[in-house]
Amino acid sequence: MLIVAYMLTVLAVIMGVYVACYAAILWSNPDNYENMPFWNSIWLAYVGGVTALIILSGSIYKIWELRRGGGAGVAEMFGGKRVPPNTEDLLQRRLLNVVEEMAIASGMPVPPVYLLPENGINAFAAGFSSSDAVLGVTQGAIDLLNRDQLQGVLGHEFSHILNADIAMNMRLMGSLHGITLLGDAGWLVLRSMGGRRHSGDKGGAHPAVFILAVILIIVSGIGSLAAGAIKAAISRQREFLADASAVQFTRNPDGLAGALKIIGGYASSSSVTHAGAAPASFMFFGNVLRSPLDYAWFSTHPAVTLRIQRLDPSFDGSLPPMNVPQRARMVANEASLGLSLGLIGAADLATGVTMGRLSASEHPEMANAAELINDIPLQIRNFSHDPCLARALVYALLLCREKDVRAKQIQWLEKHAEQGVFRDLMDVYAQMKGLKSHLRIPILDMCMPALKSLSKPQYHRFISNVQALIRADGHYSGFEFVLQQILLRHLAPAFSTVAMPRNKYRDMSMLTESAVYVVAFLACTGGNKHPQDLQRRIFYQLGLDAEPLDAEGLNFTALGKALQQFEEASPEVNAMLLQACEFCVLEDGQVLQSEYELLRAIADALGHPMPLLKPRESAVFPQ
Amino acid sequence: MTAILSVFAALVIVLVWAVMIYNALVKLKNRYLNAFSQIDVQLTRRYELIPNLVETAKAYLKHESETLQRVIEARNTAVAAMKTAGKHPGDPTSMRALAGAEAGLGGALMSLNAVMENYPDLKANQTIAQLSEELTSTENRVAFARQSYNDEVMAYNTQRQSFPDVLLAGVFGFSDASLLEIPDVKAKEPVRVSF
Repeated sequence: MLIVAYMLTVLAVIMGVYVACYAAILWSNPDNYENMPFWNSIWLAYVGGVTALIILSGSIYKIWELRRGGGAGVAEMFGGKRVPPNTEDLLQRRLLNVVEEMAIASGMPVPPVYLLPENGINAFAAGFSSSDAVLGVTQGAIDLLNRDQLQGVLGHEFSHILNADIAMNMRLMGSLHGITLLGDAGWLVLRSMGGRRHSGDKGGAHPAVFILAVILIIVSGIGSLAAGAIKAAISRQREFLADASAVQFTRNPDGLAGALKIIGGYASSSSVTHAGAAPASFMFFGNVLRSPLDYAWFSTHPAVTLRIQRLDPSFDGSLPPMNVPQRARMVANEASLGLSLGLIGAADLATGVTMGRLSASEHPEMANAAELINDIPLQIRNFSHDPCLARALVYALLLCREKDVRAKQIQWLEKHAEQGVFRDLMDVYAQMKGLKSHLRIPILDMCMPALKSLSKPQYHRFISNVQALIRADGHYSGFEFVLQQILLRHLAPAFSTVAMPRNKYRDMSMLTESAVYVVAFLACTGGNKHPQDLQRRIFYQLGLDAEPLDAEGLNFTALGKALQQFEEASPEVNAMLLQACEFCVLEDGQVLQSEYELLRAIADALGHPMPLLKPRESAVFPQ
Repeated sequence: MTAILSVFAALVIVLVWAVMIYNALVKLKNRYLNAFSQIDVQLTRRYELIPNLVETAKAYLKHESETLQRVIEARNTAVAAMKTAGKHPGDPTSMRALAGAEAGLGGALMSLNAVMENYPDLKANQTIAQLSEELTSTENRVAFARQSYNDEVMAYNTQRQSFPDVLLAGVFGFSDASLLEIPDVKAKEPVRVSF
């Protein structure tokens, strides 16, 4: 649908450019009218070729640029500034805490957060996948929304990330760029001509070039408008969907509805004034441009009142204007009250209140996440927010229980880690004594934003140290595998080009060997009594024609390679494999902690993040 | 016709090329600006610790008010320098001012440390011990954040000075960014590692 619309738009633009060229030539040689039929296939091929080339190269260039910058590049394009992960500003801290909880609840690494210096209340998510995803929030949103409302808005954005809407938005942004580029070229020509006019220089082809430029601008304008209308129609549907998922996610329709009511009663509404934002309006939570035609064809978002009505059927449509200073004071008070009890960096009071109000059973994911975060000692949570200490934290997670190996590891770090980090390491290690092992993965997830703010040389040093620590005991353990998978997968996009999701393999049978390996690994390491039978059953269900593997010879290195193959598989294939993996783990009625962590790493590698569970009893996660 | 088209195509190529250079520079500039905000966070934490340290030490150091005064003054100079630098990260003048103020603060803290050596009671004080520990660890983090910032500035400057970027960097208003290099006042003393 979108592709057809795009093709039609490009065709229309080519025709427009052709007419423009014809008019320009006619203008420059009016006497030659007789010799110039309107249809000239050679000219058409010329014009069409060059125009298509420009549009195509513009789009390719933009997609290339988006891949290099990932979500962070987009946030900066909108004028966003990264919130330091260890910020001590109350409102920013609260924002980061909410993001952290939602990420842990959805089983994603915590994304970096950008702040846009805008008065309007708005937010966006950008990136190709959960690895390079970033969240952006306006200053107005953190100043004027209370915790529940902020959670509602961020829940909406998280659902865009989880539903892979953001990847589609990135592609859309890239393809549309080619068309607008044509208009930009027109403007550039006009401006440079204006300059020459003043200097009195009269070149031969000027009037023709002038007309060409003007028509280019018009054509490109109409082209992007047409594309915009289609894009808006699709976007509006997805906004409703994201609203619904946000409610499902936070189990609190009042939060999101409350935020929309605030936006509705706010003079600045959800406007974003930065020039980079308007063409990417479809990426935002609310309409970027303030328009009286709220539900017009070109609006990328449904009307605020309509969105509220779907969340709150008792809504009577009245949106009383808001007293801004009073509202800001109230929000600031709530934030400082919430944070003062748990000190900076803690999951704050408001969570406690929310969690208390809604029992865990009707609020399972968020309650689980808040509990998990609360189980992590405050000191360690603070460490995970600091770029320097987060590295020490990861090193400490990898220190071996055996004294000899640990001594070797410490010796390595003394030589190869920055001395400041090494010094902190012992401090961090001391704090981690007695830490419950199921908290290791959430801690790792929480370290992500801090680790993404390393410089490139620091990052390379960090990764090579992590690999050395893993190699130290000559044994590749399950936890080490999971840690390395998560780290490499989610950190790399911040320091290199982002891989585009590709659907090279659309059928499980194209990846038989890898699928067999993954399933066999889980079946043989999960303590199942008849791993061969289990494998046969799963292979049958997956429609694979393969023989079960023996436990011998299975290793993590090969598992990593097998999983890598699925990066190029279609989402359907990945979902199917993940289902098989879940079945494999659950089949014998008991889930070992190592099994669960491995399953989570596999889910992560397959692009379907899995929420973290808090072990209920030791029966689920034996010590 | 062909002439117009080729002029047009050439124009577009030049335009795309300029946009590419511009975007690459913006990206690198954003990276070092972001890295500077880490220095900001760490230094602010350090500046908040110092008055606490001075306040606690005051009770013991009645005869050393001059040293304490110097620490407070150096701290206030550094806070002011940080504020200016925070508005224009990478600007040579403000970066030099910040580096100078930081070096001054380091020196003042050093002499305070030396004085404190003479007061065993003070050294035994739990709060003081905690505060100096916190200060040392913050200093490590400042050094780390500084390294990260300097790495990013280097990457930006290298790109800015390389051909063909150097031709357009001036037109777009990109000037060289300045490193933050704080002269190490205690080069003789190794970083304390205690565990």
